[in-house]
Amino acid sequence: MTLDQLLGITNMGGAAALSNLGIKEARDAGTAQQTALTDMANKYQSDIQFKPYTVTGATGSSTFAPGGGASTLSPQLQAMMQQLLTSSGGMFSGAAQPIDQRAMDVTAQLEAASAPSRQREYLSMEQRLFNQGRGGLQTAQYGGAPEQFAFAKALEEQRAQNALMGRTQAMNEQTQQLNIGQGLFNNAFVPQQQMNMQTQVNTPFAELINRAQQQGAVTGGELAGQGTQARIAGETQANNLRQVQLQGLLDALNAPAGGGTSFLGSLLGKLFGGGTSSTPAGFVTPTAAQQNAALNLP
Amino acid sequence: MAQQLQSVSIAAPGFFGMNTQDSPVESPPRFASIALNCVIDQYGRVGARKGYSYITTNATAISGGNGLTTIYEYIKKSDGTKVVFSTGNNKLLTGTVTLVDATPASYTITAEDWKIVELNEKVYFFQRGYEPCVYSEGTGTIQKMSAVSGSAGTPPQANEALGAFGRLFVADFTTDKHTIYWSDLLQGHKWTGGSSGSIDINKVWPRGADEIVALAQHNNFLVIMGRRSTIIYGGANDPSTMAVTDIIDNVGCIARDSVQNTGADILFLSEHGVQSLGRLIQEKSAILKDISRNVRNDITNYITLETGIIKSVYSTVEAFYLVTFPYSGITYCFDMRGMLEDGSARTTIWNKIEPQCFHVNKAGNLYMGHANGITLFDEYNDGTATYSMEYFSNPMSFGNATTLKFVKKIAMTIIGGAGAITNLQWAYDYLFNYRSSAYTLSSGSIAEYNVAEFNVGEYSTGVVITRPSINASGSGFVATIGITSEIDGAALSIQQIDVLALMGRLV
Repeated sequence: MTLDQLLGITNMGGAAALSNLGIKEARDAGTAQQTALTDMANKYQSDIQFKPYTVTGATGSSTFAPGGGASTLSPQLQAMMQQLLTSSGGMFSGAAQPIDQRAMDVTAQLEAASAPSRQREYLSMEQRLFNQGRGGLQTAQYGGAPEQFAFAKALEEQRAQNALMGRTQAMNEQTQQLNIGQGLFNNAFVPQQQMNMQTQVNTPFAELINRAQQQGAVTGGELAGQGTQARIAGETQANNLRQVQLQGLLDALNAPAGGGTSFLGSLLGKLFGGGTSSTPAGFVTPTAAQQNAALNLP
Repeated sequence: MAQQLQSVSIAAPGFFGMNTQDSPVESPPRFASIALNCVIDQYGRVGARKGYSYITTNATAISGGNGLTTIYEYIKKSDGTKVVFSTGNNKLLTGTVTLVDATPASYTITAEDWKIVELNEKVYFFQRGYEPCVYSEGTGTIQKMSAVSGSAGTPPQANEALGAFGRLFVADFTTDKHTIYWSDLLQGHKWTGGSSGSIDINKVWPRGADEIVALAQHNNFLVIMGRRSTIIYGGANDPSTMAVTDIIDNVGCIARDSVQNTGADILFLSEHGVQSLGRLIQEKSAILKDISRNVRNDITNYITLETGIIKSVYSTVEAFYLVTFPYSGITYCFDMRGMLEDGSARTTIWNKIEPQCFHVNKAGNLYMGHANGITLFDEYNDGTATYSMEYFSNPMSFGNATTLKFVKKIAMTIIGGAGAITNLQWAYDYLFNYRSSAYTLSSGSIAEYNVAEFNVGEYSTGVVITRPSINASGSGFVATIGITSEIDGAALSIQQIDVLALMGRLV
């Protein structure tokens, strides 16, 4: 191997070493930057995390956690709410029932109420007809006597009226049940509403605390990010300077000293004799792509 | 020593009609014990009744039958012509001189108890167990009710029918004797719908059970006659509102065709005799006026014996009410000119005339139904036969029942009866072994104007008056005087009876 070859080798090796050093430092700087950012993220993630809080008052307590919120009424109000809901359910159930049966029941009650007087009037009419010798009267016009027809007509009218009254009453009762049910149902949630109001009143204070914490975390994160960026910039600057420094050093070593031979060449020539420009046998100069791949460059 | 003759004069003898109820001795001489084939004439005398003459000359349609049983004259509203309906020999007939079978086709009749009524230009024929028939003025024929245009409902097979208050009322069915049905207004062939109806009076009878025999309209009342009670409904012009106004217990009607409306009264035959309902209505709670009170037992006996269909008639022209008992062949005549003080009517009795039915037409003529058709109550013969008029007084004591009497002379004043053989009879002490003396009444000669016999004109008043006088014989405490005369074409009235009796010893 000639000296030139050796110099070539040393020169190439120095360049490679220099290059590797730059790569390593740059990679270390990125790693340090990633680590710093990760640490920062971890730190501020816990800082900006929602802090559960509980609002407690006369109606009960409300707890807000990251997984959701929950309200708990006081036992008395809970029992009252349950009672109102149960009652309203009954009312709704009643209101949802068909009114036919109820109408019939009311009608039957009205009929029963008027039955005695009706019976008295019928007996009186029957007595009157009998006294007049008209008990056996049958007419095509009226069926029986006109009085019997009038009685039957009045009876049917009263029955129809009773049926209408029964249905009206049943409808009124249905409406009443619905209204009562609605009232009960609405009132059943009054404690809850009261508690919500209580929670709403107290929520801003907890929100303020959370918000201050989040703001602090954001501010800290932003400051930490800026610090990291500054550090990354410094590291990059230092790395570039070192690259320059190392390139200068390498160039100095390769520069010819009096006879056209560099210091390193002369040094190596002295050590190994021979030329300096030939490449030792079996040594292959890497291609640019291979160098880029080795430097992990595109 | 000779004694003075006691004179008894009976003016208008029998003027009060028959009296078989009161004690004969005490009975006024104006009552008769027998007044057979007599009437009380317009002058208040006992006279011979009229007989009948046949209007019908062609009775082929009822040949072989039992004569006519119903007669009814209908006057057409359209032209005033008369249609005379009759029933007999199981046929519905029209005509008077010639009887024409007008029975609807395929309509079989086996009974003869028709009731014919009229309503709104239609004549209705009712008989129990038969579909009613209807004569319509429009068609001029007799049809079964179901065939009449506009008929509705089941034609009532009733025995009694009444056209009143603008509708038909019917009752007395084969199985239903207590329900009255009425038709629609003015439509006697509509028995359903409209204002038709019915009333069951089974619970109205005062005695709990009775059966309807007859219906009548009087004084705006509907009179329902049961056999033993009578129910009077007011307001029947609207049957749906009619109501009982009076119930008469124990007075009913036993014969549908005995009911006659005189205008002032309704006369009908009850179990007790002939009653007057008009008086009942007026006097309400007053005692029943028994028209036949003076012959009560006699008439109730005839009622009891009767098995046929009793018929009656009221004639305004003749002013009598006749009721006939076909089984006995007896007809009672009640004079309606005026009532006696006790409310009874002057009564006479007829035989041999034997009418099967009566009808007074619109002209006032009295039609009768006989074996050979329609007869007219006019002449003094029964067809071509003569009949006997009989008058007998009640036993007379001449004011002293304890003294023996010797009737010496009987003198009578008889109006009419020209040429009739008359027997003057007398008997003593309630016995019927009459002694008699025959006398031929003057035939008289009623002058015919401008006709002279042998140039000698005879003038008279136109009324034959005969004064027969006979010498009587025998003796007794009471004496009965009578006269029998064969009526043959001439009227006869007894104006006066004078009896001369000699008073004998005391009992």
